[in-house]
Amino acid sequence: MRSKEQTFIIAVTLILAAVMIAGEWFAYYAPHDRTSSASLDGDTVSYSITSDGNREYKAVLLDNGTYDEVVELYLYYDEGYASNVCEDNSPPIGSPQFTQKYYIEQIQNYVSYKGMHAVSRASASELLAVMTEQISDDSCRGKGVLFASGSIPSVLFDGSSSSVLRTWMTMGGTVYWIGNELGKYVSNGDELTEVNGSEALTGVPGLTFLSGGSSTESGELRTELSLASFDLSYAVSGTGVRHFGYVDGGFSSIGCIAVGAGQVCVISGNFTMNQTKDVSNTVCAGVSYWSQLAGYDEGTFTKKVEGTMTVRPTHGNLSMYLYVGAYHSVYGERYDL
Amino acid sequence: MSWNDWGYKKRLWVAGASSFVLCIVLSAYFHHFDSAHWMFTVDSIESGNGIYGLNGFYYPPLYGYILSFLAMVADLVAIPMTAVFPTDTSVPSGMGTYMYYNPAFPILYKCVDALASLAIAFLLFSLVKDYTGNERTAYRMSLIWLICPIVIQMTAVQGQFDVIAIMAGLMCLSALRKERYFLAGALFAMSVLLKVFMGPCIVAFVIYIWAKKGKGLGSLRYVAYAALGALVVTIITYIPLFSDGTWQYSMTFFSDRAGRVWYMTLVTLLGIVPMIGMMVLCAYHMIKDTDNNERNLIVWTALLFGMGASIAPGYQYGPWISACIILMWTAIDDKRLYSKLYWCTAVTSTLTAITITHFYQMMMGSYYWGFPDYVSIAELALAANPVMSVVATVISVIYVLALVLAMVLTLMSLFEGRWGALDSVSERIRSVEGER
Repeated sequence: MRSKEQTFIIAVTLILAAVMIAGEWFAYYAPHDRTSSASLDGDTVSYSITSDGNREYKAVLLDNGTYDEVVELYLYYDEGYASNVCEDNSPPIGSPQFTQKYYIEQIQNYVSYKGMHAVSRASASELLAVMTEQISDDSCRGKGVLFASGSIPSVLFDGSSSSVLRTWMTMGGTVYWIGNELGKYVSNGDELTEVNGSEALTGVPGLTFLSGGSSTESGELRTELSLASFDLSYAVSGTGVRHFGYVDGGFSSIGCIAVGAGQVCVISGNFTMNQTKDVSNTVCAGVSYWSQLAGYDEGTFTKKVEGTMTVRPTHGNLSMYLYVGAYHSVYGERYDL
Repeated sequence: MSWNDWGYKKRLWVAGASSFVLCIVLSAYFHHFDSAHWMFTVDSIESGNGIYGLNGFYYPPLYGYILSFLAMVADLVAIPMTAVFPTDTSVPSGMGTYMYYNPAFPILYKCVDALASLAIAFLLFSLVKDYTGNERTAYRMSLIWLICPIVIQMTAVQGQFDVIAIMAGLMCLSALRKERYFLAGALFAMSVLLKVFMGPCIVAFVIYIWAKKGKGLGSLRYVAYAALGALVVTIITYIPLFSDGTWQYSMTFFSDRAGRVWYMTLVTLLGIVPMIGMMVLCAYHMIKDTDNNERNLIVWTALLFGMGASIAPGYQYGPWISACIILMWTAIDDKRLYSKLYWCTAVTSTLTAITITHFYQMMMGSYYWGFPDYVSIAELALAANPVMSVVATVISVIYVLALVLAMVLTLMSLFEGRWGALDSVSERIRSVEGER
């Protein structure tokens, strides 16, 4: 006959096992049903979001002028080319090291659930092939490349203004830049060359960069995009730079520079968890040099929330970014209206 | 009817209920860092990235699954999962990147921890009563667990889940003693897949079964039952992790910590060498001294998980040390000094925890519950930081010395009568608390 102790142990074990199996199912096999929609009818933008639980939501309406928001994103990663980023940025104790490879993997995971449905990793040669093709058939608009390498492979940018990368941006492509001063280093295989090519890359003279520092002063879109990384290392400043996020003395955590029909978006700071979130929100919301906030809602909801915003009769490309969870976002989707 | 007329079990229920209520009240306070990581884990789960897909969860998988279950419950009953970032408030910027979470979800996961702590008290009562035959001693051991400040701090304030792993470990110990080997193996795996500290105890468990079941090859059949239990739990746990390739992140808390900087590698290596030595010593002693198999199981289990939790000694593993000393205190005949060392480790680890996390842990409670002005608290916390660090370091050294002394004295007792010099050193130290 079982003693009370044995019965207790068996009961607790069964409860523990049931909780763990249910948790495992919820983590890996359960559908997480979150949906949203947004539409433009005349001068009214309507949106709705459905989600489990009780969470915050934010609805961010941007007017991007003539800029085409990125719908296809390439994440550059190539072990054949030297990189120049700090991969030892003291992540939390127990965390995997924030190597470039791990970081790219993290960004891919983040942007994938926030509405960027076409994401792929690409080597230097693959990017060269893609960009060359897009330049030749004039399809650079709506395409983006994210560099978290701190240097650019020489096949894309050799320090001159006639490089493939510059041409690709001029025709509408977007570069997202993280981890070092923009255009400072070019990698040719294992070799790194300092070219200080920010002007050649962007066409904007006199750009300056911060080597370090931070700011908690909020600028444009800081609250709307729940931006949380206020490390201003490598932040860019100069005429022709639009500032978003945390700002300080002409520098900002997100600096956008127009390059023809495209742009470079410099996201400051070293690799951190908060930076990955800021990168994903910036990319997925479609933030650009031309972005103007055309409407904004926020709040907390259970099950479903709906809303409308009124836009000016004359406007450019509108995009509505809807996301759930704010600083702890669990869902996002952008609608190009 | 007076208090003295109450049976010890009834008293334990009262003490347990009081301790549980205290934990729930204190759970309004937060350790910002761990709270943040449990929320990051929920983000990863709820966004369809499993428990390791988005950076934030660094432990073996099982607590991730418990958090996942709690997130499911939170979704069902619409518990607010909201956060405020310091730059949205007037809190000084030096607060860094720590969020202010709505307390509802932290209270939910701390309830689970508090229940596990309560279960440990009852398991200790049963184990100590069974081993000593004395209900009063059993009650006292359970009571000192329930009122242990580091257990309350880590469970109710910091929201760490060590108590769940300790609970599974103690249930494993009981299952072994009751010859429920499959169950014992399953519980052993659960404990290790929550936190790894119970891992080294495998040596004691295997030899205990071997000695109890006749020391022959036939006894290995029972070891196989236990291994099967452990294997089933491990396979079920790791299936999705092997499917998506994230299994490699399930031990980063240990591997990354050890490999990141040279001094951590050194500390870990310095800890692993005596750990292996201790496992060998355990094997030697338990094989030689099978007459005291029951005592040896309890003492060596305590020594091995206590040692495991001390490889990188820190206040956060205080509950393991408390459980370790209670078990050694129960099973070793010479009880002198255990009481002092128990309270010394409990109090010093709690003081270290408070001086390191200090006023930060009041921040979120203050923000949401309207406790004292949170901006002033934040400024006080920032101003106090350097001094607090020095104080914490001094206290934590005392903590480490006390826990090492407890283990060394226990080892001396196990080998009593073999080396005269060792016995006389042991007696000299223990005589601080009088003659035997």
